Amino acid sequence: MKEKKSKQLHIKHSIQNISEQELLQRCLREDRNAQLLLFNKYAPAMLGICYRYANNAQEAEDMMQEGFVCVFNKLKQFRGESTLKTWITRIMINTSINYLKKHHKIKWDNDINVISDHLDYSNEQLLQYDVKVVMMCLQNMPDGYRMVINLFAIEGYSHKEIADLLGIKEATSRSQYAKAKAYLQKQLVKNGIVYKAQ
Amino acid sequence: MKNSSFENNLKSLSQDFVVDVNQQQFNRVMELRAQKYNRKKLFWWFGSVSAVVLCGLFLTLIAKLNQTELNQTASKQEVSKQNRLYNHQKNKSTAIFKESNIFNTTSTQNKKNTAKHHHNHTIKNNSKSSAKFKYQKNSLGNDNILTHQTTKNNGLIVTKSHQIINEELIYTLTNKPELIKPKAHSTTLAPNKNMILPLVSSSKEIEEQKTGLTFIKGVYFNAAYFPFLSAKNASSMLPDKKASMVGLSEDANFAYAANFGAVFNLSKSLQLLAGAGIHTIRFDKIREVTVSVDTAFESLTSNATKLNFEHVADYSFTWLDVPIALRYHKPMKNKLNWYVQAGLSYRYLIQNKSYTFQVDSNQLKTYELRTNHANSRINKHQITILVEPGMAYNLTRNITVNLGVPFQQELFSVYNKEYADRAAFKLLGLKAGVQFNF
Repeated sequence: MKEKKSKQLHIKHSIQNISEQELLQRCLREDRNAQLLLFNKYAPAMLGICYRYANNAQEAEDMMQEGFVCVFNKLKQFRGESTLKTWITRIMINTSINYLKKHHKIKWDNDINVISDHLDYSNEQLLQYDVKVVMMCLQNMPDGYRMVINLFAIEGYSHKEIADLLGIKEATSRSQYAKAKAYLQKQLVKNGIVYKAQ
Repeated sequence: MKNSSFENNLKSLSQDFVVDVNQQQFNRVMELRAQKYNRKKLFWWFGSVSAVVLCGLFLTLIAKLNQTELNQTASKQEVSKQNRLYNHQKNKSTAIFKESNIFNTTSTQNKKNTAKHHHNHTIKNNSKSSAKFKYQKNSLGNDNILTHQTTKNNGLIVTKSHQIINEELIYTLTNKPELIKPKAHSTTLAPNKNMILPLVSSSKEIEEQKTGLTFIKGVYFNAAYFPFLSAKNASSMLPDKKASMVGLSEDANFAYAANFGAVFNLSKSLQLLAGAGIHTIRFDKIREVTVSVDTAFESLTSNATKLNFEHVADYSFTWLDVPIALRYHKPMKNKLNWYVQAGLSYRYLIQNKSYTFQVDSNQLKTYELRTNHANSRINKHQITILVEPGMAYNLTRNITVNLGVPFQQELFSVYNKEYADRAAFKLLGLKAGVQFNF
């Protein structure tokens, strides 16, 4: 037990001290401890990203695990043009989208009756919120809406990039986003998220 | 629109969102990765074997086609030889008959003496024999055909010399070798000094001419020594994942191999070699290393933070080796050939010897480090690419010795995923072998 604790402490200590470059080098040498350090460092944020794309927690974990398999396998291809976190995030997003495409039948013409109830919250500010509720609302959205709103509103992709990534038309991406936004706003209000006009 | 407060709020919300992870999830990632790696390895292994099998089938097909072509060529050569022989014999016989005025003989009185005087060496002298010869048109339409009629038998064959002529004639004109008894040549041609024997030297060559190359060429035995080994990323040969953390390093010393197998003829210059044997890589190095004890061997010393020690790692891996290779060979001089062979070898780990790890410090003298620990860290399966140029010398008709410079490249790492490092060896060495040809 003592040995285990000392080992864990040692690993925690190592996380703080080790540089990203050294961590990368060690991961490239297939050092299991370094891989664990990398995982511990980035996995929480990545799991958060996967939660936004997934329908439920189990799916999010699967996405994250698949994503990290990809990260460890393709670490040699990391050229250092961006930060490691950005690179891993991009892999996670792609893995999540591929996972959804593989396991879900996405309907891009999914017409939910929210447009008629459309409320314009664009100039309003979220006053009080619970992240978990927001995530829950995101998870409850249809797959197509969720992907587009994640990519456009959170990741900052353009509609053209989204269209290329998802294999849809740019116009579809725009309309999906409009519908998704309205849907989400309605869901947020339903769940007690209070908005205030700016 | 894009930078509206809605998007900004959502973005800031999501960026703060993190979920705790645990060790099990990491283990699951590693497990998935190992599964993916194994699937990939299996795919490559299956692909390689399939490729080798397909190549083998393709080459066998080519060899068969070549063999058919060779047979046809041999048949044509045989026919042309028979033609030449026939023409020669015809000319000779014509000369003999002319000389002895045999064409003018019409007597039928001395029938009893016919058999006695119809031998090759007496034809010339027995010009007045009772045999009735005439130069007549053959039923097959060749008016230059010499035939011999007897009173008893209206057939073609009477004397040995004429028997030969007519047998060749039959063969040439009808192209039906079954009409001629196989032994007629050897029994009748030999005694006659005027005959030209067929240009064959041995029964083996006759067989090769008639049936093409025999498929199984022979068996071989090879022994190889590889003094030159290198492996990318083989920074540590110690089968302990902590080794890579502390920078221990070991180099492989040498490897040796021995195998035996069979050689198959695919064509005149292409052979297929398939066999089995063993392949061993040995390591034993002594090196001084300074390590941080608290990170590597905390259980050994509780007080020391740095430890200088000298270790001896001595162990070896032995694989069952199943090579399959294609050899292209070309004659250089009379008995000397050069060859190039290439192929693949499947290896299965059959022995992994233990090693000792000696520590020389103030507190510790000798330490045996988890003797069988290496077993779980070594890949049991391995595929190696083989390339070898070399020379072969025919000592006798049945024994060939060869000397080659084999180069081998392992496709997979010596270690499996349990171990931190990846080390796929390149080997260069010297090989001597002997081949017994059937």
